[in-house]
Amino acid sequence: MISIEQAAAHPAFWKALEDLESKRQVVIANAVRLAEVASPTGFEADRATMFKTLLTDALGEARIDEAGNVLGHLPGKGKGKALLVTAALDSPYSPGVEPVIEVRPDRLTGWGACTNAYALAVMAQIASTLRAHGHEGMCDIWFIATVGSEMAGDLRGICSLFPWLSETCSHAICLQGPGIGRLDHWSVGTYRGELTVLTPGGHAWRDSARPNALVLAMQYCGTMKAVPPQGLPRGMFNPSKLEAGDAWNALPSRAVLRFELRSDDESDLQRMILRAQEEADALVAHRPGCLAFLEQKGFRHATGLYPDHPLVEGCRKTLGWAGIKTRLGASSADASVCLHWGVAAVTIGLGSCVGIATSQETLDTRDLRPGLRQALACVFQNSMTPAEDNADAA
Amino acid sequence: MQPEEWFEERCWKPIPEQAKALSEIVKERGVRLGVVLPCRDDASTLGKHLLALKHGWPGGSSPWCEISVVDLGSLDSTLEIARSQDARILQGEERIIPGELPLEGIALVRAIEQLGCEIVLVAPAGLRRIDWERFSGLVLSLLEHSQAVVAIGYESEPSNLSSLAIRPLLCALEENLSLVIDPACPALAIRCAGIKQIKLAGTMGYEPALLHEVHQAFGLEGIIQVPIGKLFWSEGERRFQEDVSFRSILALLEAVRGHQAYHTKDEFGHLFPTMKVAADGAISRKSTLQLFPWLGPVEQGSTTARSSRSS
Repeated sequence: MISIEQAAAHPAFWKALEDLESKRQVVIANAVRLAEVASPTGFEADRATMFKTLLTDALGEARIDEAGNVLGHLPGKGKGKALLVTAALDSPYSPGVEPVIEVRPDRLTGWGACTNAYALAVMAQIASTLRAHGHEGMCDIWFIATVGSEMAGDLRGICSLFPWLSETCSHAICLQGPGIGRLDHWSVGTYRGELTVLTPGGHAWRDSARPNALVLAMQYCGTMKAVPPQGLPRGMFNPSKLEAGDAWNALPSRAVLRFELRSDDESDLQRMILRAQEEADALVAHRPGCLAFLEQKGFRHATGLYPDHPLVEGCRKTLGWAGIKTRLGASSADASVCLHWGVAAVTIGLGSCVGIATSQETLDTRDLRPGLRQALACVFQNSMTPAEDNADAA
Repeated sequence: MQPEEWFEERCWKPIPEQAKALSEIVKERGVRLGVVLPCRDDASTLGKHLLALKHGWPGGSSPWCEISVVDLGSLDSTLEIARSQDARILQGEERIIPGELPLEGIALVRAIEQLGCEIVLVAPAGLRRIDWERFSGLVLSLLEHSQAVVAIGYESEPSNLSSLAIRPLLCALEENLSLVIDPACPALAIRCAGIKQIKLAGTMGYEPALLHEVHQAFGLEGIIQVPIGKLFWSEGERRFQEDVSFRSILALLEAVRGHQAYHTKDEFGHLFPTMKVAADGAISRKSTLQLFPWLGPVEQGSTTARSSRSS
C-alpha cells in the first residue's frame, strides 16, 4: 500500500483517472442495464450473467462460482498478497419486483437504481481502466461481485470464498452505491433471530385462560427491549416483523417474531444472544402445551479496524484528496466477513442516494466524479507496494 | 419465393450476443446505421434508451451513426431530455390533418429523408424497456438478407397469433401476408433505398400498410420477421389505444385500393362529427370528411397533407 501522494506521482494513475472520468456516461448506462435485471437476494443469477459479460469485457476473462459470485482477476507483478474489490449483486427488494429505471439528466430513479447496480458498474469500469492503464508495481487484484449480501442472504456469497480468500488477499475495498463520504471500518455485530411461539389456541372467550401466542411474542419483545446496554459501545434490539393470528374470535396458536440484535462490541453481542435464548425458554416455562423456538437467521461478528490502521488512514486521506468529507462509521456487509477472517477491509460509498429500498430510490448523477475518483484512487494505492519492495521483487 | 420457403428462411433465428455481432459487422463492412425513436410525452423512458444507445451498448462500441428522435407533439420534457443526450431531433413542417399532431408514420418519413443511412431501426421511445440484444436482430437480419427491405418484429412465439384485429383482415386481403405473425408491430427496421420507392402511410398504425406496399413492390423476398421479446409500454399498449386500430385498418384498405385490389369509386376517409354550441345555446353538428393521408414516394414529392373536405 502506498499513500495518495505516492500514487499521484505515477503517470499511470493520472491516465487511469482521466480514462475513468471520461467513462462516466458508460458507468451510468451500465448501472441502468444492471439495475433493470431484477436481482433480489437469492435470485441473482440473471444479473450475475450480465455482470460476468461486463467483467469479461473489462478483464478478458471472468467466471461464476458455485455460490453464484462473479470473479475476475487482474494479474499484477507487485509483491505481496492480492487486493480484493467487492460489490454486491443483489438489491434490497422482494422477488416479483420488476425494476424499471427512469433516466433524467440529473438522476436515476427506480427500484435498486443505486443499490447495488451502480457499485457493480463502477467496479467493472475500474477493472477495465486498470487493465488498460495499470502500473507494473501493482499486485494481483480480485474483482468479485457477491451474492446474498442483503437481509436473508446472510452474506453467503462472501462467506463461501473463505478460507481461500484469506490466503489470497490481505486487504479489501468494498464498494457500495449509496453514502458518498462514508468510510466504514468497523463491522457492526449482528444477530438475526426468528422466534416461533406455539400455544394450544382455542376460542377467545371460552378458552381465555389459555396463553395467547401473539401476546407471548409481544411480551418477549418487551423483555428484550431492555437487554441492550445503554451508552457506548452501542447496542440495540429491533423487532422487525411479527406474524400471528387467524380469526377475530380465536386465540392465536402461532406467532413468529423476527428481530435483530446489534452491537459494536462482540462480548456484548454474545451476552445479548445468550439472553435472547434464555428469555425464549423462560417465555414458555410453566406453561403446559406451549413451545418457543429461537432460530438464528444471520450472524456477523463485531470486529473491525481501528482508525489508525494504515488502510483506514490511507483511505481517509484519499477521500479528502478527492474532495469528499469523510465520515468514519460501521456497517454490516461483505467487509464484516473479511474482517472476521483477518482480511483488512473498509467499505466506501460512491454516490448520493435517497429513498433507498423503495420504488423511488434515486441516485443523483449531477456530479459522480468525486465518487469515481476516490474509488479508483483507493484501489490504485492499495494495489501498489512501495518502490523499494518492487525493486526487491525485480 | 414460396410461402413455406419464406417462413423457414425469413423467421430470424437469434444468434448469441447479437448486439456485439452488429457492432462487429458494422466495423467490418462500414455500413451506416441509424436509429429513430418516435416519441410523444416519453420523458420517463427516452433518457434511458438514448443512454443505452450512446454509452451502454453491449461490448462498448455503439454501431449507430445517427441516433435521432422524432417528436410527435410532446408537452412534457421529452425534447429537453433528447437535447441533454445530444440526440439529433428530426423536425419537419408537415401536419397531416390540420389541427392534429404528427403521427408515427411521419417519423419514418423524416428518418428516410434526413438521416442518410442505409438501414434505419425504428424503436418506439414509449417502451419502458428495450431489449437491444433482440432489437439488434432486426438490423442484423437485413444485413444478412440483402433482398429484404423491411424487418418487422414480433413479440410472441411463432405458434401464437397476433391479438390485434388487423391480422385477419390482412390475411383476407393479401394471402401471403398471413405468414407475418405481428403485422402491426411498431418495432421494425427498413432498408432506406428500397423504402424510398414506395408510398408510406403518414398515420399511426402505418405498419400493416407498409408491409402491403413492400409486398406489392418486392414480393415476399422484401420482408423478414424477427422475434423481439415482450414489449412493455410505459402507458399501456399503444396499439390498443383509441383510433390506432381504426387508422391502421383504414391505411391498409387504402393501400389495397391503391393497387386496385379492391374497388371503390373514391378514396377511403371517415366522417369526423363535431358538435358546436352557438351563442344562443343552439347545438349544431358539423361533419368533416377526412381523407386518408398519403406521403411520398419520398424522392418524388412533398410530404404535405392531403386536404380534408367538409360536408
